[in-house]
Amino acid sequence: MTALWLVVVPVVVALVIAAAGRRPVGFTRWLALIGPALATFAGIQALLSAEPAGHGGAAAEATSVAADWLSAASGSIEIGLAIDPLAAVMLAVVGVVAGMVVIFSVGYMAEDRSQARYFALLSAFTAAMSMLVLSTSLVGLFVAWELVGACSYLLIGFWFTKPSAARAAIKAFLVTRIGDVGLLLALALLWRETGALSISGVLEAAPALAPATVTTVALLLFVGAAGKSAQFPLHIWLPDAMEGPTPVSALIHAATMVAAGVFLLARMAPLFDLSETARLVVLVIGTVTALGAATVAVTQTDIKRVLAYSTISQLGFMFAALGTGAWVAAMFHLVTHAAFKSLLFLASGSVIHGSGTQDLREMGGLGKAMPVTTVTWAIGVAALAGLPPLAGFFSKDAVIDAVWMHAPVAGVALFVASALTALYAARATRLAFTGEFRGTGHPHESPVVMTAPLVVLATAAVTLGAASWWFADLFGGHAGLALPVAVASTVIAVVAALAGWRLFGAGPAADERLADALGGLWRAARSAYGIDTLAMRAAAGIERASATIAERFDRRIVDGAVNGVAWLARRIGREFNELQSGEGQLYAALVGAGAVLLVSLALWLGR
Amino acid sequence: MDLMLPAAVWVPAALVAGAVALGLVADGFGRRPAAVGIIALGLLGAAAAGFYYAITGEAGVAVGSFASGAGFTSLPSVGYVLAGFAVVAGYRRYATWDRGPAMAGLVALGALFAHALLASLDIVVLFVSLAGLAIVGYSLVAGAGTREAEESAIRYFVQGAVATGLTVYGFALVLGLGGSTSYLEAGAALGGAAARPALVALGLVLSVFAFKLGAFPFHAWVPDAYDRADAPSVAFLASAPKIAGVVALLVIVRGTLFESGVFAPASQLLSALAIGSLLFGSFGMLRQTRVARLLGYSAIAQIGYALLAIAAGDAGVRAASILVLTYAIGAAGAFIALEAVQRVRPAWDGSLEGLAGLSRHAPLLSGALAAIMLSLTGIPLLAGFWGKLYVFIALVDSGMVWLAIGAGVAAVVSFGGYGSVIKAMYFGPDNDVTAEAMQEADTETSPEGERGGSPLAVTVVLALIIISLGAAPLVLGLGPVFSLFSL
Repeated sequence: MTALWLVVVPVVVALVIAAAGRRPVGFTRWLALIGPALATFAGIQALLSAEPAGHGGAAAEATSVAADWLSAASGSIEIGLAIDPLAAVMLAVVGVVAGMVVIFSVGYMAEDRSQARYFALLSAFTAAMSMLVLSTSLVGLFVAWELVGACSYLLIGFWFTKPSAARAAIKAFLVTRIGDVGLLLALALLWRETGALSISGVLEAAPALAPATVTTVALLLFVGAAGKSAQFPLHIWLPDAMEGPTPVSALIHAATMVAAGVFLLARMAPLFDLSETARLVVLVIGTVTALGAATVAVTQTDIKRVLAYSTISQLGFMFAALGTGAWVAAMFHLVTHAAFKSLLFLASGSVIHGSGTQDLREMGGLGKAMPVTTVTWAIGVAALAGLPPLAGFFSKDAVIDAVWMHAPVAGVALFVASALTALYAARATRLAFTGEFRGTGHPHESPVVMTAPLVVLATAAVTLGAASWWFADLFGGHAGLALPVAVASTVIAVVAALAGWRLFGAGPAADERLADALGGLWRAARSAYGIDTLAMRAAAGIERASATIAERFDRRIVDGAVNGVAWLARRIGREFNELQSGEGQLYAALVGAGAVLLVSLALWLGR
Repeated sequence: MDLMLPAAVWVPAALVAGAVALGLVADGFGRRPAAVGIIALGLLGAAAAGFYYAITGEAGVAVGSFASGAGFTSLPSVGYVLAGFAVVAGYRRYATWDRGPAMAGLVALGALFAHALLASLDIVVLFVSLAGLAIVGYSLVAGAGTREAEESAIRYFVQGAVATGLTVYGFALVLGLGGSTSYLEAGAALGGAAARPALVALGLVLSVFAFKLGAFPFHAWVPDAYDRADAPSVAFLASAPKIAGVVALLVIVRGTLFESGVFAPASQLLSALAIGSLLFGSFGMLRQTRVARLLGYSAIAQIGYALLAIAAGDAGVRAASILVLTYAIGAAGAFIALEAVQRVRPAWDGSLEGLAGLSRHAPLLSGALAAIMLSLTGIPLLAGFWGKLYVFIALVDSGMVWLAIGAGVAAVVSFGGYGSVIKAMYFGPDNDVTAEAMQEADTETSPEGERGGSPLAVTVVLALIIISLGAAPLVLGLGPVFSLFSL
């Protein structure tokens, strides 16, 4: 039953916070910590008591809650929740990051009038994300998948009065929807071919399927994962998603939800083992994304967009590892990345809070004004760049090692990508924290409630590398360092970081010099290779074309009907306006209340 | 679901649908009277075909997603007849209003949906026909065109939207637990399903039917809509859909979907709804000053009897269908009579007082309406008596004596309501203001005087049917009725 509580409790908390409303939010916002705390506790406890299991396939019976649903002649769909080691790892990540984000948000959102909505959504997200990782069936996972998407949509558009935020929310919703269709098709295909949708059932049945079917299913699953995890070319929503509050970016768009795609593929790893083609596609897309997004990150001037492209790039690393079958390495990188990237996002939040801007060109010299933020940020970027002995070093090493062994070309590309990673990490640090302050106002350190989570996450970013051995112990795979790769990547990272440090000592002027030197290349990267514009133009084109067709259809064929409907709608609108007595709502409520009464009576009589 | 259709289903349906299509084409050419005529003929033709199949065909056949034969064909045909009568009675409105032919078409389509609802053996058919009937209902109420009617339509629509939500949840549960859209297959599976979710499904589906039929506490739309819509449209709304709803509920609760032991609470739930409706409706009637509202409360009370019959178990199957059959004829007759009153007294405002002295100006109409009212009360020798009688017998047979006594009390109380109509017509002061105004209007603008036209004719026909249905069993016994209308 534990697993069920992990989902139910945060939902209840969300309802309580939302229902209590604005006035007591000073107290109720702290309730949002309950869900993350439970998740952390349950995750860590499960990990400590876990047997080394390899790929568990989500079939831990002891803690599962399962029920048959939609039972038909052809079988039944099981929905259930269970904690296996893989879920426990994700649960701990979700719990810790969500907890830190809630604490940070108490400071960050202190002035906001809609805090109740905000913290309720955070709690709801925790519930949905817990359900996603705990689900024993793909149906439950899909439902949770949509729910986290909905929470993400609502939080990106949290400041919905800002047109850009509303637009970004819709864009995120629509783009990830493309991926969701893929996932849904994969589910439908699996249901038809195997008659099962429980993860263990599917994985059991998979080896007996035709190779083409397996490949199709795997690729459709990957489409879903790519949408959620912002992989090329479905990555275009993530940079815009930075319109949401920064702590949300840290939780949803860096550490947890966007990693759900990686988690899904790790869950389904035995299926991918069966299809060479699917793995190759994952590897190629992952590598291209890792490299491409890293180049874009070098050129961005908005601190959050730098981090957004960095996230896309790091997720690309994880997918590259998945493409070689090294799902343990991918999951390990997911965990360390969650720590240091949420740290970086929260630190950037602190920077934005303290300096009043998110444009790197208007920052500078914040090191003196914001010592805690600066130190923790430095730890974060060092981990991101993969400098030893920080967590990122170990996980990135594991990823590159796996890819290098499998496909040297991709390995080289990832080496280049990690050089670029060190470069943009150094650049952002240099521009924001050293030199003279270039903005207006007086930068100041953030309150303790914001810096304390930074310190906690920084500690994790330093120490999580040690988990490498334990990870290998739990899931299999080889532990420790692949020495040649480790040495090479360290050298590359250090050299690139030093180069970046020197190069961007000049501040924003260095950007201009680089732009002059690289010309079109810089401009292309700066505009993210125009993929976004292209996609938007294509969408607009399709929309225009369909609009033209629809317009003709409308004018020539259904004009009368449509006009009639429009008239009716106007009429209904007018009636609704004039229905001021409230009787309509009252009667409607009566219908609802009657149904509740009748259902309760039915349950009571049949008890 | 199976898409095969027996002739007893598709022939009447095709006649109606074809007539509607033809009628709307005629309307498109500006021939409104022709359009309304075609639709009325289509409805009456469909009824004739339906009765032919009901009499000659085999009883109780299930083909595909539909039941046909005997009651499953004859009861929808009664719906077609009453819808046809409503169109004939509303001929003047429908043939002069812009939207008139469309409204006549809506009445016809409503009868068609009612047929589908009644004969349905499949959840998909059930859902579509419920939704179709709902849309017809909203549109007909709004069609009267007055501000009040539009407001009522919107209120009805908002409540209906909630009910539709309940429908979706309820059917989703049935589908999820039953694993099939067919009543029989889903019903068999539901017997073995977990009790709690199954009971939630039962509660939701009963709520939907309670709303559709206007049972307490889902009744709010009924008096409102009946009062504001135009009388011929209400004559349809108060008849065919009620027959269809009651029979569909019977089929679901007593035979297919909710038949198994898990659903034993259904009887108590239905009794609760029934008693609430009976008391609320009967007592509500007493306070009314407008005839149409009074008939709305009467509808709530009558549905109470029908639900009681269904609650009584297998003994009540026959009672429920006979009751709702006689009620529907009575209700249609009553509203068509109101249309006739409107012809005789063009300035009538719909109030009870406005009926004062009607017997002296329109004795035939007053007599017919009085007969209809007495039938609705359940006075012996009129059709309505048999319906009530069988409900009481069923209740006593199944040991629900207290409910029978409660229903008897409600019947006595309801006479206060129905009687007030008769009292106004026969014993009201003739020197009433409205009556005077009426007389002036009669003498000044139309010296010939309106005699009631087609509404009067239809009212008289319906009153004669009620009287003969009430008296004939004394001579012939109820055998023919049972064989024709048995389910």
